[in-house]
Amino acid sequence: MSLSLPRRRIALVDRDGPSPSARYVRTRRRALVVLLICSGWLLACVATAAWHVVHVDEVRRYAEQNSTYHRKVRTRRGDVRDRNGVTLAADVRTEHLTCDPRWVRPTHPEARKLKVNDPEVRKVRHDVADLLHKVTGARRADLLGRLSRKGAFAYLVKNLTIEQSRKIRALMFDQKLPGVQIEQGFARYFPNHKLAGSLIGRRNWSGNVERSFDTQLRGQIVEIRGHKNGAAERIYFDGAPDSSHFGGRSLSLTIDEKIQAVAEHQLVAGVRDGHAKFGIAIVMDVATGEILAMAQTPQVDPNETRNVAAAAMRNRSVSEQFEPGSTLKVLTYAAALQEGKVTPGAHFSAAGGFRVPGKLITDSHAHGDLTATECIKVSSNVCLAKIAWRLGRTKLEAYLRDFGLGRRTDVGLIGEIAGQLSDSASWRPVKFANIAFGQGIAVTGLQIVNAFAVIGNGGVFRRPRLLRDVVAADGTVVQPFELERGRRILSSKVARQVVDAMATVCEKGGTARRARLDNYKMAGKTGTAQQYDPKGGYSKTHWVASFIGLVPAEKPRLAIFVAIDTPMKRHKKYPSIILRTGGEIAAPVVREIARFSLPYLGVPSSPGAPYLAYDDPVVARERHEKRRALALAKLARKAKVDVAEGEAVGEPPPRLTVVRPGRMRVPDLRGLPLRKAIDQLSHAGLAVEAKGSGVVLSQRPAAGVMVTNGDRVRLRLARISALAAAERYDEGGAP
Amino acid sequence: MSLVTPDHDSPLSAAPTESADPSRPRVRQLGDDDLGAFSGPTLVSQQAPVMTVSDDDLVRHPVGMDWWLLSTVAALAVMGVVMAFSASYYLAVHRFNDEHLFLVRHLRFLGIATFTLLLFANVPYQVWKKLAYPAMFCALLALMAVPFFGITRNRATRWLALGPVMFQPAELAKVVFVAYLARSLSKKAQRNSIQTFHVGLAPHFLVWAVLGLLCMKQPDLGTTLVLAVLLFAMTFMAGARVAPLLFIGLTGLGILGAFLVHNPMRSRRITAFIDNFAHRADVGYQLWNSKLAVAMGGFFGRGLGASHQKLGFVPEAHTDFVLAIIGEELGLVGIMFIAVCFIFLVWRGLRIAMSARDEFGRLFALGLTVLFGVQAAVNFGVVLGLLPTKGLTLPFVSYGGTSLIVMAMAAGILLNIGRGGNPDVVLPALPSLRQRPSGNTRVRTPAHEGAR
Repeated sequence: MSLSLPRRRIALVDRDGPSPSARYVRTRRRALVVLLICSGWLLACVATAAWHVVHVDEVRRYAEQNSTYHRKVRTRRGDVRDRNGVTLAADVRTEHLTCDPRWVRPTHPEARKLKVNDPEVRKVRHDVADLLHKVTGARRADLLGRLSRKGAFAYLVKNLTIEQSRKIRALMFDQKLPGVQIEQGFARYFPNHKLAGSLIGRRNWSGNVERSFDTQLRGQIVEIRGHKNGAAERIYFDGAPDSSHFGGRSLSLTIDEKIQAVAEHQLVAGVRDGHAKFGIAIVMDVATGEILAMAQTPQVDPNETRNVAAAAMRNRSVSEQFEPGSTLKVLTYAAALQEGKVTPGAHFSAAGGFRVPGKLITDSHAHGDLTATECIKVSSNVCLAKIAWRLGRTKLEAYLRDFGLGRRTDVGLIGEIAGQLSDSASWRPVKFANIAFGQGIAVTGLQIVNAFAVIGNGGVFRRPRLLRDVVAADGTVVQPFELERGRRILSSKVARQVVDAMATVCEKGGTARRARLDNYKMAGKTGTAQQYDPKGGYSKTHWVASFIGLVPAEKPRLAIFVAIDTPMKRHKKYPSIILRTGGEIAAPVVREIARFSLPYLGVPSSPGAPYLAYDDPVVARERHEKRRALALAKLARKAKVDVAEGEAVGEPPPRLTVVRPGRMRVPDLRGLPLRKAIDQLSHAGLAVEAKGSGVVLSQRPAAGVMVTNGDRVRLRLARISALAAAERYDEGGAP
Repeated sequence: MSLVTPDHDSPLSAAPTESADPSRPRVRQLGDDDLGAFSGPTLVSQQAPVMTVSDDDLVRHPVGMDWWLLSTVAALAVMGVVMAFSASYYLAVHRFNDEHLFLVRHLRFLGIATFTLLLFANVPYQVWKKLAYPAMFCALLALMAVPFFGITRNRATRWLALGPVMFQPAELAKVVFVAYLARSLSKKAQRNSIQTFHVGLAPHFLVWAVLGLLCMKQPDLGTTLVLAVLLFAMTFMAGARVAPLLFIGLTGLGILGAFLVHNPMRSRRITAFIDNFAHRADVGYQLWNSKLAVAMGGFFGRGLGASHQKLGFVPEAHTDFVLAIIGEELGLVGIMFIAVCFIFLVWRGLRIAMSARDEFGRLFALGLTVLFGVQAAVNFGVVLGLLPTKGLTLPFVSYGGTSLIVMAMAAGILLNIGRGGNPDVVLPALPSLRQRPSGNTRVRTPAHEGAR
């Protein structure tokens, strides 16, 4: 064709081409052709788009796979609260570092095809592990292992701190952490830390709320759908589950946070003072069977998951049995009264013991002629054996079982044990006698306090309650607290008589004079039991000192039980004597718990009890002045220095440095309870101005500042639990 | 009125010398491409201001300011602002931590583009007749500078920096090439040398070849092909003979095919285009995800902003592949809207071209119209999988500064052609060896007459 062109050119070069109008028409025609092709093409494209739209079902699968992912997650776990709504355990939002190991590789497009063990990929993995190790402190080898796992998901670090999260986000933004993601989640948090630690516990511990009511607390498993971006990073959830619909139920316990705190505090002090191994304390409302406090030592903070002692991971109040000792005498006595085998005034002779086949029952202290009430007061084994003999073993067993011994209390805690109470048919006389005063039978603390609550409640048995309300995530109460019908075991008259007998225990001549309160009349019973020795017989060195108190004696409101294991307190004057009785060791703890709890619950003082506000500053001041004078006089005698000079006498009081007469440095009082702070300051002759309650939070002037005798020190106090509420809880937001 | 000048193309020139040749029988004595020869302020004053006698014997009315075309362009631009923002949102947040990054830049470009459009709509298009060749020369120079001074992005060297301003000479070359072709072809059409090979076709193909080679160097096959389509379309419309064009076109396609087969990277692209499903994870990733986006959009779309595919699945979601995101968010309806806009644009362009005063204006307008049409058509074809992937923007809609401004420039010129330009425009004398007549060379405009 090109060959033909020159030939035709001659004709074409001819100027006589088409006229302008013909050219116009030609151009218009040709333009129409071109532009129609163009428009037609556009329409064809639209048709193609329509074809794609119509055939979407063939590719929908790929689109979904590309951009969405599904994961099953558990929704928020319910809260655990005390009876007043104070949160004891809650889920807080947290962030976990996760990764999709398949995408821990270079980001350039060709990297998709690299093998897992390609050096380039491996280098990225090592870099990522290095960075994360630097930021989170997690072990590098551990991180590396997780980063190279098979599959599409692995946790790297759980519960990032806010600072870690911020740093990691910055690194992610800089594309330094391919495949690494931050996932929102929940973490269990116990805002009061050690408070009720073993009772609330963790799900994998024993005998606690978190484990026992797990089915109620835990959130449902729901499937969430999320979106991935082109780099397979998870970017957002589509249908994040609504916690108010799928979250776990919240529990209101019968526990009162304040009583619990006091019980724990006093128990810790009691165990420490008694040089004992550990102890338990239970406070129960006798009218309803509600457990107001259930404390034990050593305390444990469930926020800590590592290095927790095995003993702290179970709730001793329900999972540890011991021989109750003398406290059981009351139950024997109550049964005998109820059966009419004995009256409070009946006379028994404790002299000479009581011979049963195989053994002579004796008392630790010899007694003479006693009334039945006095038998309880002085805790005479001999008399109680005699009373039991009148009652008969079948009856005794029946009553003990009625009181709830020998079986689980049905409080709902997993890990609770039943204790040991054998069939009375198998009781040989020695054992029968022993059981009458509390040996040869094993109980849990909860069983004891529950049995005594019957006496305090006028003879009506109620099962112990730990759960108040169960509230669904949307706020509806699904299981409200209902008081169940009780079961009468003792007549109210008998119950009254028993309480009266117990009240004498705390009077002069009783075994628990130290249990006496200033403004409430205490009824109680001590128990001092030798522990069963695995080698056979009873241990000479291991004891349980316990005390069960019913306060106020006129109309008991609380049953308070404290048991302390193996106290080794030495007598002050005669160190060879070890004080191990319930009256010495456990009774003061019960007293202190009652001292707080009764006014707190609004229980009026016992009639005729001298009102004495222990914390009345005037009274306290007087008492301290008196004590101080005595102590100084004593020291002066020892050191032969004139007190009036204001010189340092004998040993300086702790934490107080006297520099010159009348000049001193302010001691560091932070963390001390008010009473101790006042002790120290008044000792130094400084005035106190305190604000708040609890322990000293801050002081002015600060510790170490020079002051002059008579200066005023201002203290700000805060409750321990308030101090313990960690910042994380605040930052985590209200659950 | 004016004297005979040797300059055929001056609007002021009298009848060309050829037509003065008495041996040539001519029906009309009006200059072919010559309004200056139209002797009539008096006639014009009787005929109302916009009536002109063109180079053929028809009296044509320029369409005037084409508000429809302007509205269509504005509609596309607004769509572009919304969709380029929507499509770039995720990228902007994810990569640059500033969700408005591309929106702000796009709006800035749009502001410049609006200014450009208004400016060019008011510059008489006859100016470009003079400037076409120098502009072509400058564009060639700029393109030649690219390999040496260019800025590389995404493994392509396409940008030149003029101080703080960066632009793509290849984009500008499209409009300049159209101007050049219009200028050259209109002249040749008048002489009828358009129908020869060595005068009518060869020079244009030569220029195209130089431009194309420079573009391929970048590499930018898309622009080369658009220029080729423009070349074929414009020579065809100007009246070139069809057979040589067909021959060259088919031969060219064959060469292109061979070239593609031998270039491994491009041949992979072609296979990915033909069997997209098999290559959906590697070379065909972009196309596959683009098609997924359109399919998942359905008839009415997922809703504005609700695209999933823009989350890093469709690369260049806000530039070349914005149509895919439109398809996903606004559905088939959105795609149809864009297509209808372009078809309408093409129709209005045709209408303007056909009412142009002279052959140059006609061809220029047609060229610009084809530029819009081809660019849109290729973009549609690429996004919907009818053509292998090319880096071509969707005019007025895609994010991209040079493209937007150049397209606005083209639209402005088109509007001005519709308004008839200004036939009396006189450029200051370009450096020319030709002698120009002295004295009053300016014709009083019909408008002046009317105002009297």
